[in-house]
Amino acid sequence: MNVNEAWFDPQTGVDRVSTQTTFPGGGPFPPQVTLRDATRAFMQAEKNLNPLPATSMQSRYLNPWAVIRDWAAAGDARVAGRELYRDYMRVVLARATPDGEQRLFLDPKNGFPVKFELQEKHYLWGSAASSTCIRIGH
Amino acid sequence: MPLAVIRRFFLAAFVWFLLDSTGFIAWQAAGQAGAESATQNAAALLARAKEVMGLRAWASLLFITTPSPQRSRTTNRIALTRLFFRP
Repeated sequence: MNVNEAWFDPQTGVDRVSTQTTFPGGGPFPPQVTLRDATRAFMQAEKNLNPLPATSMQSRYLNPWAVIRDWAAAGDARVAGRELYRDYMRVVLARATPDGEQRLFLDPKNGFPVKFELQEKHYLWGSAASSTCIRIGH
Repeated sequence: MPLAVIRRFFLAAFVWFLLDSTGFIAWQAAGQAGAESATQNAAALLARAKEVMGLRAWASLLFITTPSPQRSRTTNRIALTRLFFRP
């Protein structure tokens, strides 16, 4: 079982996630701490910060506050139109990143983000063969 | 089955189709109009999202996820069990 504690600072966009694992009959083990901003991720090892691969950023996309903050700070989002999602029309924003295009679905009535979508490259074939859809709201 | 019953059935189905089509067309038109008026500026939309989500520069957010056996089965979702705004 994992116990996570995550802090997010809206001013800097940095989040800190501490994960402590407990096995039946063992642990709890020392927590693993990761620090991320909009583009980078690091694992804390004693007093050092070791860089993590780009895939470590994916769990950040599950945090709607971080996504909204990153998109607003980047300033390169554009309106890509409207699409039907969960029975209602949503405003779709799009943003080009080095890892591919990301799309953010907003509810036009109340402004809440309802879906984050990204194209994920296949681990073997390289091309954007699969897509990951993450629901970040209701 | 009497012919009159069949006629009524198809007449009712036709009326339902007309009403449903009218509603769908109106719904699409409203959606397009809303899209043009509400999505002129992506920055404005993101600013509004920040506002409705309570994202303030002076606040830090704390999430705590409690031990969840279901987490391994739903790896793409994290259950946010508590949310604290801390000035």
